[in-house]
Amino acid sequence: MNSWRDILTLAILFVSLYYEIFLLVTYIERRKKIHGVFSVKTRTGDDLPRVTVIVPCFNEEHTVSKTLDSLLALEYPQTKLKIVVVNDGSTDNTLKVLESYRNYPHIEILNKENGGKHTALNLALQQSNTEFVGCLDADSYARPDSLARIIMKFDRPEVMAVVPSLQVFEPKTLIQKIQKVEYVIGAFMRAILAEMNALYVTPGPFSIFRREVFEIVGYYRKAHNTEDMEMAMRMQVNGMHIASAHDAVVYTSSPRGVKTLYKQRVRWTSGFLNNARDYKHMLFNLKYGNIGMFVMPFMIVSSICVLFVITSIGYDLITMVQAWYLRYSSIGLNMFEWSWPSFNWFYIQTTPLLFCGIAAMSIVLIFIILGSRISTDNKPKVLEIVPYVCLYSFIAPLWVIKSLYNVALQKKMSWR
Amino acid sequence: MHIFDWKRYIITFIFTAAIVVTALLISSWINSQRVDELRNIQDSISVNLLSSDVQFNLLRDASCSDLFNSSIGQELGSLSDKLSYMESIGRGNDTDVVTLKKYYSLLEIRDYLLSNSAASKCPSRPVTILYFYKANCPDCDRQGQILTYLRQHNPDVLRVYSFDHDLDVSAVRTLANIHKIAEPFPNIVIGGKTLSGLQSIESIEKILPILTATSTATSSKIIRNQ
Repeated sequence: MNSWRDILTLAILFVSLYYEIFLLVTYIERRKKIHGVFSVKTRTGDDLPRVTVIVPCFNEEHTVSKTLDSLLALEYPQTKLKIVVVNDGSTDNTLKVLESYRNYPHIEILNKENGGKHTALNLALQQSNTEFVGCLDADSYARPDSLARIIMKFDRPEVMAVVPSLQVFEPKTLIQKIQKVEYVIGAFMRAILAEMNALYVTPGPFSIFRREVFEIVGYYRKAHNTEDMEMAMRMQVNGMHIASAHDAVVYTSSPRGVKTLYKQRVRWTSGFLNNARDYKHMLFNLKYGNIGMFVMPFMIVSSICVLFVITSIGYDLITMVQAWYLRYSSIGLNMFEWSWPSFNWFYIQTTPLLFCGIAAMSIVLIFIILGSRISTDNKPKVLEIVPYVCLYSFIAPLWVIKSLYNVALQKKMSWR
Repeated sequence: MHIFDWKRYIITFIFTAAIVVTALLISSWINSQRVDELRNIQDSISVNLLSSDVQFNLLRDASCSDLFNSSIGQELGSLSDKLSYMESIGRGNDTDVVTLKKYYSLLEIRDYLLSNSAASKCPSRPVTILYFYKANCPDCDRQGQILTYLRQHNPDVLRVYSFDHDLDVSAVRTLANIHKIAEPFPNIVIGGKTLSGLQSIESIEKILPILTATSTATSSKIIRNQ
C-alpha cells in the first residue's frame, strides 16, 4: 500500500465486501425460510381476501392491454378481485384501449386530468374498500399465480406489504439482457432485505398492501417521482414490515437502449437520494434497525464512492495516455513495433486491491447463482452474465454521477 | 418493529476483515517471492561476473566470448526491467528493493570495469553507455525509454549501465565524480565523454554508428523474412 488512493480504494472495497458478506450471512442464516415454498392451495377461493389492483396509466396504449389481460388471467377468484384503471390524462389512445374493457364487471375505469402517478393512485385508493390493495404499472404483467402467492405472505399478521419478484419481460437487446441479470440479483437482494426488514422500495409493479397501511401513514406523495420508495420509507419509519414473495413473478418492460435506461436510472437514483435526504433522521438511527444503520447509509456512501472510483479511473487513463505520449516523444513511431507478448508471472499485478476485487466479484457471481435458484423462471444464461459483469460497472456510474449532480443542484426530474 | 442484530454485524466484520487480511498476506507473500527472484538473478550475475573476473585476472587467457557472454548482459537487462517494475508499482523505496538496487549498481560497475579492462584484448567488445538519472525528472523517463529501445534492438553490441544518482552508494558517487556528472539530468557517458540533458536516438546513433548498422541489418532481415 503506497498512497492515499490505494488506502481509500481498499476502504471502499472493504465497505462493498462488508455489504455483500452481510447479505450473504443473512441469506445463510435465513435460507430455509427464504426457500420455503408456500403452496397456493392452502387457501380455497372462499378463504381468499378481496383485493383491489390499481393500474395507473399515462400514455400506455401499447402495453396496457397486456397488463389488464394478465390481471384477468390471474389464478385468483375474479369475484374477489377489483381492477381500477386510472387514465391520468393520457394524450395517446390509452383511453380508447381501456374502453374495450368496460364490459368486465370487476374492472372500473377512471379518467382524470394529468397530475402524476401519485394522484392517479390516490384517486383509486380513496374509492377502494377491500382488505388488500395494490398497484400494477401499466407496462408490467403479473404471472397467473403471483397474486395468490403474494396473499399467502400476509398469513403473518405483522406483514403490512408484500413485494413480488420482478423479472425483465422478453429481453431482446443487449441492454435488456444485462438488466435481466440485474433483476435476478435484485430479486435475490429483495428477499434478503425483506428478512432484514430493510426494504426501501415497494415497486410499482404489483406491490400489495394491507388497506390499513394508507389509513395509518397516509396516501402517496409526489416524492421526487419515486413515490414507491417514499411509501416504503414511510412504512419503515412507522415500524411496518414489508415482506418479499420471491416466488410471485411479475414481468416488467425494460428500457431497450442505453439512453432510456440512463434516464430511468437517473430518476430512480435521484429519487432514492432525495428521499434519503427527506428521511435523513433514519440514518445511523438504531431505532430503525438495519435500514437506518446499514442499508440506507451504504446506498448513500456507495453513490458517493462512485465519484471517487470514476475520478480514480480517469486519473489512471490520463497517466496511461501520458506514458504513451512519453514513449512516443522518446522513440517516435518505433513504439508501435510488434513484438510477441511474453508471459512472466513477475509482472502480474498482485495488489491487495486485486484480490479484494476478485472476492467482491466472486460474491456477485454467488448472488447471480443464488438469485437464479430462487427465480422460478427467466434464469440468466452465461452469455447474459458475461456482458453484465463486463459492462454494468462501466455504465452504472454514468447515472449515479448525474443523480448526484441533480440532487446537489436540486434539479427537477421528469418521468420520461 | 425494527431489530438491530449486533451479532450479525460483528460476524460480518470478522469475515470481511479475514478476506482483506488474506488479500494483504497473499500480496505480501507474492512480493517477497518477487524480491527472492531478484536476489536469485543477482546471485547468478554475481557468479558469472566473478567467474569472468577470475579467469581474466588469473589465467589471462579467457576468450572474448567468455568475457562478454551475452547472458550477463541479458540478466542485467532483465534485472533492470524488474527493478523498474518494482519502482512503478510503488515498491521502489522498500528496504529490500533499495538494497537490491544498490547491489545491482555495484554489479553494473563491476561489469563495466571488466569490460574496460578487456578493451585492448577484445577490440570488438560491446559498446557501453553509462546512464545517470534522478527521480522526478521527465527527461530521465524519456532517456530511459530511448536507451531501453536501443538496448533491446542491439542486445549483442550495446550495454547500458543505469545508475540512480540519488542512490546512497559511494561507488556510484565516485563513478559520477569521475565522469563529472552534473545538472541538467539525465547524463549519459559514451566513450568517456559525458553528455548532459536528453539525447535523442539519432544523436546517440551518430556517436555510435554501429547501432545504426545493427538496427538496419535487423530491419533488412525482417523485410527479407517477410
